[in-house]
Amino acid sequence: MKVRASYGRMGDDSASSYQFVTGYTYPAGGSNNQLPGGSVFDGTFVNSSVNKGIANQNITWFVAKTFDVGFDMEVWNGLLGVSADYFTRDRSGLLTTRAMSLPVVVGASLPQENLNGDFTNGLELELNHRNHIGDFKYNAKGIFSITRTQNTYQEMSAKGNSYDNWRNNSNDRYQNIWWGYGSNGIYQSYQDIANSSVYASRSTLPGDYIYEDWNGDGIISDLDRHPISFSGTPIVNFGLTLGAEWKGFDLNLLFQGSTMNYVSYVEQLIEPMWGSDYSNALAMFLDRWHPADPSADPYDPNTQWVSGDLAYTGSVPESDSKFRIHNASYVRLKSAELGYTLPSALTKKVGIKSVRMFVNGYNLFTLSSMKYIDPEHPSDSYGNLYPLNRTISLGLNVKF
Amino acid sequence: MKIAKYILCLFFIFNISSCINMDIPPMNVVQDKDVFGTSNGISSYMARLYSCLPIEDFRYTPTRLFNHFWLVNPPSCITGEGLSRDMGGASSENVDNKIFSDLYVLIRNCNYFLETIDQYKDNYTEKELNNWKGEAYFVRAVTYHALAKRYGGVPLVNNVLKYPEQPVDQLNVPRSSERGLESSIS
Repeated sequence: MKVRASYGRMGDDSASSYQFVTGYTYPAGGSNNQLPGGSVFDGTFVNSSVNKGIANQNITWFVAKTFDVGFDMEVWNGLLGVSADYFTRDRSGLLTTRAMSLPVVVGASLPQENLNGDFTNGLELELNHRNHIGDFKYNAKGIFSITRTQNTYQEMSAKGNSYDNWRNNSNDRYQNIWWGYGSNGIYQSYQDIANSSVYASRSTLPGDYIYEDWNGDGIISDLDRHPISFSGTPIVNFGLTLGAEWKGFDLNLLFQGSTMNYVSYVEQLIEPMWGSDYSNALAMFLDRWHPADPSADPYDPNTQWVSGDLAYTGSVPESDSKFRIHNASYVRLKSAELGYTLPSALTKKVGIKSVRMFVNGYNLFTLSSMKYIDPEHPSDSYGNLYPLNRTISLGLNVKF
Repeated sequence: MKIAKYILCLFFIFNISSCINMDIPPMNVVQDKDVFGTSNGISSYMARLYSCLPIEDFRYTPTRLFNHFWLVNPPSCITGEGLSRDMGGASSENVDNKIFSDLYVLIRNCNYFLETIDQYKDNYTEKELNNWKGEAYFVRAVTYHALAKRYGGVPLVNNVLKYPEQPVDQLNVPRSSERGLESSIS
């Protein structure tokens, strides 16, 4: 068993660009349509130098304090191997401008200062197992990691009231919080709309989304937004590698996945014929609420409706709402390979060192609630993705 | 032994000659000495002052203010002297905060010039210096005039306000009287 720990302080000047020195931009940017970048003196255009404004003499690099503690161990002759790590990174002195404004008569804006800070911590775990039963040898390796970042100090102006403070003060708060509306289901009928406890406009139809009246004031407004999920990159990632060997056969499987990540459907994933009337529609929009008789007046209370998953075409859910934010957790069998090596006693007779035949499958299956986008790249190209390939290859490896 | 002495000598020579002071301001940033040190540099500073000068020339409209190419509603259309498709009636100047803050940036640049140029007076003749100072005073006076025309007695800021050397409450300069402003620029 091995225990390790490390601690370091590192200055990071990646955001520095000589903010400590008063300087000039030369030649100044300008536009022939608006303020030009110079003046004409004696018939010649002279480029101008613009003062960059107030410098901060005390600006410095920001400091990242990193810490890691972990252990590696293997017991029972490979039956269990564990490697675990806890790590933190505490950054201070991130550049930002102070949250106040100088009087206009100063004629310059505030310089950047080393004010903000954040704190990241996380856990990494790796489990190994290796064993054999007679001729059958196998091994398994699972990895897991979780990471979150918290703001320790965020320079911001004082909040005027406690609601504003709760809503916007991100000091000592985790990053990547998704604020939005919760879901209260779907209006099932005209009666539902008529008896709705919150205000529903006169264009509301059966099948429309009911946002959660989170603060209970009877209307859906900005005040109903609350943390509904995580945003940004996945918080938890995991993987599993399995390998086995038996009498010349070998098998390798690689699973990977992530969880605690959410994405919002955009553009053509959120409504049919997005962009223009001539664009196409995905088949998933057929599963929608619509009048049983296509020519019936949808606003007539006697119209019969066919229920579906989505609202009637034209009703697009609010982008920051549970109706549009989908859990992008997934598990994917990224690759699988099955091989067979001919017995060497057989191959040596014809002067060949080894012969291995294998079949390899890439991207064999994915368990995910995302239907139309790759959960590994949920935000690529606004969902305009070419369907992912599933590749199956056969191979023969001959060594002389 | 003698060789060792030579080596030692050589070592000192190289060591001393390589000992360049590294603690210098960054060379890739244009600084005061580059701008104020030569007459070309000063001319580039002046180019900025003049380009920002608030004059109601042919690139001025009351709607979009100074230095704007979009001239569909020039002053003549407001007075009724000339009419255009885009100007249906009388209107007043769009005096938003931007003009106020932009002009104080120009005043700061004039003040900065006047406070800094004397450090480089050895490079120039008395006549050149007086000429440039006069130009800076002129630009500042025109700017105050443009402000007074719109806002009346505005704060008179005739030195560079320094932050963070001065606390913020000292930077809040009160309004001057209109008479005081005009007597200071005339």
